[in-house]
Amino acid sequence: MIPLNFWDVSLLITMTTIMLLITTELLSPRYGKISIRINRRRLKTATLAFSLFFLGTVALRVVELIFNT
Amino acid sequence: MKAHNDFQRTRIDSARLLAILMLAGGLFILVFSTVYALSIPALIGLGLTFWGAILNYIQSDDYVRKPLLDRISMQTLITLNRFLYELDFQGTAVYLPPKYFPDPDAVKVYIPQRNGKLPTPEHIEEQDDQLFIQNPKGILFTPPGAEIMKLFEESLGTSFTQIDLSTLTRRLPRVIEDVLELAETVEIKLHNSSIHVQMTAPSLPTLDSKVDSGQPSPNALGPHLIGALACAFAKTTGRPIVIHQQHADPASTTIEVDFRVIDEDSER
Repeated sequence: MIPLNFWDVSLLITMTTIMLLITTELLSPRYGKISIRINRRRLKTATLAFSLFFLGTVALRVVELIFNT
Repeated sequence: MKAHNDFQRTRIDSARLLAILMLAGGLFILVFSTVYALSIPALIGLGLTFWGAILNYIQSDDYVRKPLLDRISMQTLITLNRFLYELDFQGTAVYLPPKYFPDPDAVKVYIPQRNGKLPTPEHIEEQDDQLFIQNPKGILFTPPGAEIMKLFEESLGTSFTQIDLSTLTRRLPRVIEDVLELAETVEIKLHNSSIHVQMTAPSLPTLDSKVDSGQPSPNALGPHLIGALACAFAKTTGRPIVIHQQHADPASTTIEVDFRVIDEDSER
């Protein structure tokens, strides 16, 4: 088994999501001096997927809190 | 130029290599941490795996620098308009739908020497393979925006002949904004016999701002994107289209264009 619990993975997903969201918003489509060619649509898709993962973990946390009280 | 291309390729290939190394390294560290039950390396391995996968997934598009693209496209257009002026074709450019041609997907622009009656589809079809047509004198060619229109069709996954104008009005803005990212906002409004398009497009060069003082005709061909829209409207409505008015506001980067749908019966 991977020596990480669910909340460790959740934290990693949260950080990745924040970085992706910021990158997606800041990325200029008109800046020509690039060394990595980025497909902005795919970046948006990846950001959306990670955001959904993140919201999923939040939902799980909420469910957990409700059932524990 | 070749050396620059090689340098660019090396930099881009190294970016791809880095992404693959991140993915492979991340997976290796993840397996290692699982075997030895180490949580910190597992976190690092998972992070590297995520980012390696993301970088591999998002790297694929080819980009061309905007100023380069602007200069190539606008200069071609200015030269073409200059040719038309020198050849004394000063009529209004009319975008003709496929019914004027043997090819069911063709859209061409017809520019008469002087404004007058529009030739019949049969008359145009007879002279379809010629650049200069007679009676009335005019020039017939594939407009610069025709290829962009094909790109619209590929993105929509359908031919413009298969959809109606209201469907086009609904679906085309999304293609221009989100899929091709040619404009930030696009709004298409239908009036009786005209189509009003408003776009916010900082990356779209406007003909008005680039044309030299010798630019002759107010009926000259517009930028490629506007030509592509005219082609799309011609193909969808099945009727000739004229760019009636275009206004660019450089301050707000807004472009407004009025297309007029020609009623062929009343024109002849």
